Amino acid sequence: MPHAFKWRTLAIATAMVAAAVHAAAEEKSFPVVVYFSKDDPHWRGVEKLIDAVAAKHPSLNVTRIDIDTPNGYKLLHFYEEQYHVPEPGELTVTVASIGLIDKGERRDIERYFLPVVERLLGLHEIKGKQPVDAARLAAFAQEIFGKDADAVALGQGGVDKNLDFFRVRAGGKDVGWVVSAFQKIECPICIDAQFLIAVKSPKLTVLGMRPVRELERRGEKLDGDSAAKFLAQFKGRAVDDVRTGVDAISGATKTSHAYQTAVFEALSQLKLLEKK
Amino acid sequence: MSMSHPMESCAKSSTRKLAARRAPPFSPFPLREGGRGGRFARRLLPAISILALMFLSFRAAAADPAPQDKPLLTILYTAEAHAALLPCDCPLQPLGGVARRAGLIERYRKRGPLIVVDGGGWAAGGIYDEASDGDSRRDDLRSELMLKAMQTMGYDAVVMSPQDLALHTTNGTGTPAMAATAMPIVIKDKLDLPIRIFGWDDLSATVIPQLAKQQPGDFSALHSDKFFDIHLSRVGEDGAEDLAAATHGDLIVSAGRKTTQRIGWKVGETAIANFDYEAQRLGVVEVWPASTNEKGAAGGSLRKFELRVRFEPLGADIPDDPKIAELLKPHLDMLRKKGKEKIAVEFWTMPECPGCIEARPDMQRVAQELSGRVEFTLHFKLHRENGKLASLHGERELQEARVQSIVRKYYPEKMWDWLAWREANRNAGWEEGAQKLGLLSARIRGALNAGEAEPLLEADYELASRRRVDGTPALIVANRPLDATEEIKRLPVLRVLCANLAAPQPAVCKDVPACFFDAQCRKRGFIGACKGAGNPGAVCDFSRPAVPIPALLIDDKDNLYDRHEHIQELLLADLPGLEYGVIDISGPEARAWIEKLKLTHLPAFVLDPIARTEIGYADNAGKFLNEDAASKKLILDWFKVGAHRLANRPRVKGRADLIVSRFSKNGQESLEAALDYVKTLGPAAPELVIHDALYFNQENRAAGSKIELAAANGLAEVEEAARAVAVKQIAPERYLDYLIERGKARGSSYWDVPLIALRIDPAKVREIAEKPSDAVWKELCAEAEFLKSLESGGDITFLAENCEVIPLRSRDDLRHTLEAIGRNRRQKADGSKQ
Repeated sequence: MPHAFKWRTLAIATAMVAAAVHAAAEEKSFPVVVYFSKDDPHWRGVEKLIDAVAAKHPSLNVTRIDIDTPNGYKLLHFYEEQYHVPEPGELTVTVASIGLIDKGERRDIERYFLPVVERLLGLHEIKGKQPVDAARLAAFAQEIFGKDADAVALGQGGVDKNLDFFRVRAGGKDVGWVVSAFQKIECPICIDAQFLIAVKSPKLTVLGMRPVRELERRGEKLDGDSAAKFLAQFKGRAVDDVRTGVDAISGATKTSHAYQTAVFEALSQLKLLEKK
Repeated sequence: MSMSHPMESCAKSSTRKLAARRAPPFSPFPLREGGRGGRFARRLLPAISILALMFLSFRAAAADPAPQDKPLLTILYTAEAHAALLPCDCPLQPLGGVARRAGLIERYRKRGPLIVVDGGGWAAGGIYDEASDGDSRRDDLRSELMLKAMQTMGYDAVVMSPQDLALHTTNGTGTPAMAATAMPIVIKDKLDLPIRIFGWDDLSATVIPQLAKQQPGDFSALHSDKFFDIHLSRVGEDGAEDLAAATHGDLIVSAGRKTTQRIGWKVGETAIANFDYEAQRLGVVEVWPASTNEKGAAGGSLRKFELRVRFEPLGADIPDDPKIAELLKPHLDMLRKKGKEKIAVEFWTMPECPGCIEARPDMQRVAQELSGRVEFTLHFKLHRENGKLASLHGERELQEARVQSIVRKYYPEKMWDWLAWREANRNAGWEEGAQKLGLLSARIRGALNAGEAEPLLEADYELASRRRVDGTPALIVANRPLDATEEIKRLPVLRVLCANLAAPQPAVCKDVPACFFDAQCRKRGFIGACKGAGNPGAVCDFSRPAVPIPALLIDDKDNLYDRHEHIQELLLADLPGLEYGVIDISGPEARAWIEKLKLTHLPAFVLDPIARTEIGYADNAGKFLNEDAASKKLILDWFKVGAHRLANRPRVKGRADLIVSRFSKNGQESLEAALDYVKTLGPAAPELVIHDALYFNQENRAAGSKIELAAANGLAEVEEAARAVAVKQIAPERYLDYLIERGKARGSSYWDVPLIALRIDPAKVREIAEKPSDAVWKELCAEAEFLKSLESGGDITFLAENCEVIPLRSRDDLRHTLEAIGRNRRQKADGSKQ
């Protein structure tokens, strides 16, 4: 999903949005603020879009601020300064504390306003840990370790039991592990990270990874090549070098960070399990 | 206000190096100047020249100081080293490096009690890290090695910059030493008082003003005279001054930001020591017993110590510490400077500066050709008038700078288009440009009305001061000024940028010449030649060794202003085999040379005549060197290089002479500023004497005819000088008030108005001034004689301590110089009381 915030404000924004979402769950209402200039050639189109979305979701509380007036501009400037908006736009819409801008060729409002609203309203299934799909897990284990590989559940671990461990045996030997990893992402419009990790024993190096929840960039499914490139960075990682950063998927730094954290946590736990 | 020295009026700073002081008498490396003292001696001995003998005797005298010459404590400090582990990549004077730093620290450790501290910014990363090429693994290695090196050097305390802290928290590293905070580190065995070291990080800027507002009692621990307090401050020079005023500590090590080139100064009784970027020079603070006990600014505390601050250049004559050299050895390939992935370029302009307008198309093209690898940002060179920002070409230019700063902020991608549009439409309103380029007028109008431009331009003003940008157009490439010899044109700029970019380089770099002329090929000890100059295959050839040239530098260690490093850099460019020793004017050898060679100005460079045999001598250095007929030595022409210390005038500590043309805007403003500063400095003010700039009229003067006086603004200004003398006679107590009052109608023929306002009888003044008595005439002639003796002129001449003609480029320069002279006046007064 597009965002107009830097990391430094993420904590504040997240806290505010979390509160807004909590409220939305009960009241299904949150503020939408539209900063516009009548001189902007795209304003009429954006205005129609906002009116249409507001009609579809009457719980939205829409405020329009004309930046042609001194006070209107001051409010926009105040918002941009307060949230350290890195790329101020010509048209700006805030949905709760999510900011969208239009400027030149960049038309984030037209593209993302509706999905952002609907994700905030909880209408898209993007949050929470999904149950482990046994068939999918078995297929992944066999793909990595061979057709005779068998994955046996050993229990859960990690923070909030976000990791499910499976011992993989093949040819009568312990050959590795599959971990079903989950990492919650606080950003309310971001899809949580959930994926399978195959790890080789006894060296505990990553052999492969498979997303359970889709990899997204700006709210849209990542194309196959980009997803493969992202996942390939983890191949060969060992427990001692997992602190080395990964290259973020452009526009999806939270997902990248979530993957890195989960892999580190999984390998650290496996180190203990392997000793047993 | 523009204040300039005649010799500097057209000079553009070509180096960002500090004007450091000469070798101090207590240095463990007394002949370290330029980093070549040892080699100089070795080469000179066979020649048995007088110079060498002098050099050696100086060395012998300084190498073994008497015990009473040792300070009670030495504090060595660094800050903003930015993981600069190796000497700087400077072709002529590669200073710095942690191995040399460790070597020098070790020497000091053997000399006596020592404290070593760092003001933060030691880790790699951040915008001031020039050595970073964007490779995070290399930067991590640099940080780790710097950390280990500092741990090995035995630092006593550090304060952490955001980069240092990020490394510590993210990578789980240790710290180079104990981290100082508002809770001090206490060291008890180095001085007869416990030493407390406080740390104030980058976020302290908001806290320090609060400290100042508290009653001293609330911070009694900070104000105590039972401790020796060192504060490591990361809040810049102004913040350091606030901290000094709030805590009355003994020493503030100032880090974070640097807005002046000062090395050390005082606020109240607190000494402030500035940092040297990349720690190319080691900061040295020596603690001596105070010449007399005096009441501290806090009112009540007795100062026991006198602190002396200086830099020690880390030159090649300082041997590497073996442990640190061993630490770095396996990583040298990785550490040596590599090209950068991306380079930030600041393009400094003024909207109506013709040179900037001419340079814009080339810079725009370079920005496009190196798109993605080089990021240009536009900056505005402004100055202050009466405390407000102003632009050289007037109000219209300032207004356009405001608009451009808003365009830069909100439409950086349209910046070049805006400049091109403005060049073609000089008189059009900005709204027209916004419409033409598709920029939202509401955004620009709103931002202008909300005053958003002012902080942006203020930030540029401060940045220009830090960068020493004193003319436009100017480029700052990766935080460093583009060498003054480089033209701001497409190919020369591409040459510099391509040379700094890591492989694979953009396609355009393939055909860019490596050099255009020989001067671009510089290396100490070698004569560089540009082979195939200006062609795509051009290379620098360093196969020819330079002629070793023994030389002597005579200077004054008490100078308030010094540019010997700058002069030295210029000389080395032409004579890279130069090897010199340094002697101070206070010694008999220096006096002997001054007398023998009839030297009038310092710093003076005296070269062995062998310099004549250097290739290209006549066309280069030869133009700046004159031969002394008797000794055959070559002496650098003081006027051509701007040597400023008058060798034959004694230093009168605490005195300042300001010679101005009061009818000129600059002259009157400098006079008013100086009087204002003196007033605010109170007891810490220097003795300031104001003079009118008068000259002897030499035109068409027949032999034996009466002497005539002249002034820059004609006879009326001479008459005004006579009136000032009259006021001094009639109402000496109102003389300075008259100078101010008269300035309100500068040059006006209604000269009686200010007199009436001050209740001075105009008739009496007229009587004295119109037909001047011998005494008045004699005084006016003395003023002309005085200026003549300084071989100076112009709207403003500033003579510091009776012997230094100091160029003043800003009000800040004036204030800082007056402060320094004021301090010397107090020290002199203390000394005479004893």
